[in-house]
Amino acid sequence: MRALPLVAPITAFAEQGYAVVAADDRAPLDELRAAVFECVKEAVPYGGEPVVDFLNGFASYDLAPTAFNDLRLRVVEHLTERDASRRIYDAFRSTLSLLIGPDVAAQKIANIVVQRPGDADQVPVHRDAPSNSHFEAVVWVPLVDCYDSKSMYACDRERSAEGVAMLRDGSGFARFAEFIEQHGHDLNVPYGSAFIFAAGIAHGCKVNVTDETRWAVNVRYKNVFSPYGNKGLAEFFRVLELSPLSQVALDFERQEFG
Amino acid sequence: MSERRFYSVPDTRCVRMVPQPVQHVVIADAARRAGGAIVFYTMEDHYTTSTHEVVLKKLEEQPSIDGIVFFRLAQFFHDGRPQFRILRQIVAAGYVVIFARERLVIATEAELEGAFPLLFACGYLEGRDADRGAFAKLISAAL
Repeated sequence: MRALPLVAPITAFAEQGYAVVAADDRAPLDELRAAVFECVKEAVPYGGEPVVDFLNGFASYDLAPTAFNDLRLRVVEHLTERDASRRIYDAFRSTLSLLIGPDVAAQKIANIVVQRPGDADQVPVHRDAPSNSHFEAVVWVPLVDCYDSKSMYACDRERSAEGVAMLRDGSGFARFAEFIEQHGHDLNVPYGSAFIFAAGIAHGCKVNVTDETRWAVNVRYKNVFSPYGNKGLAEFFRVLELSPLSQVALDFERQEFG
Repeated sequence: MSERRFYSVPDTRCVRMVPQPVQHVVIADAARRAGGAIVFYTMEDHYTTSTHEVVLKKLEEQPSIDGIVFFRLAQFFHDGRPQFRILRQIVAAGYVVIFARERLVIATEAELEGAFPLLFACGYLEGRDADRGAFAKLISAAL
């Protein structure tokens, strides 16, 4: 089998299993960020700050944990209503179409993660696959500039595989987590770009010791006909785009169903 | 506006994996999301899961309901193909079809046509991925 010729940032992705990618078009990201802003400012005594200052300084609004989680769920619903997975795909189309091909399935409901300064409730080291499929690209889209501990860290595919080998040989999760944190690269992901990574890449985040709040949306894409993990088509993914060939083929198939 | 009324049809084939009381909870939630509630439930017999005779017989009575909430889309896959004709029969009779697990609502024949690529792909994947080693073997053979 012959490999496709690689172009940056696909070259970086093929080598590392991930890449930080600038958007082809920032407009869909601006629309999403504006939608989040509109939703969130209704939940607090909004002081009139511009969107970036508001999101970065959100910790000054001291929400109780339950109110904070309710707000997060409202934002998820808001993002879904505004077709977040379509907008993010459009923003990074040139990279994602090369990674995935023209038959695209997208996660139905985009997630949002909000990490306030000093919040110890950060996501532990993990990889998405398994139980997700390895045939998924995870797109992590910051809504503010993310750097140092305000961002996340990840190991490249080689180190991730070494970490998996530790889990497999019984070294235990603590040793795995320590290894990944030790070898993980801190990611500098400015607003207007995304961290795109294979689902098997080990990643995590540290306690945010900056004085700014992290806001990031994450959503997964895959080829419609690629293998699925525990999260399948229809309940977790939807068909976002089809190739001309698939469209013609489906029209012929449709005839068989009366 | 009065509350919408739905029949509930849990999946006979996956009761071992998802017990019936759990299916009822998920189906009731789907009915609530659709602005209604469950007014009656029925299930296919072990031997009618691919023909849907029980629910189709019930619909012959022309019940005064808005639609039917099934537990999952896979209730309408048979031999790796979606049972499109049966779904169309239900929708054409004026009943909304809802799949609780997938949060999928199909209210009209046009919506059903629009969902064909999704239904076809899901049916195909259901058949193919039932043998989890099949794809790996296919790739190995190609390399």
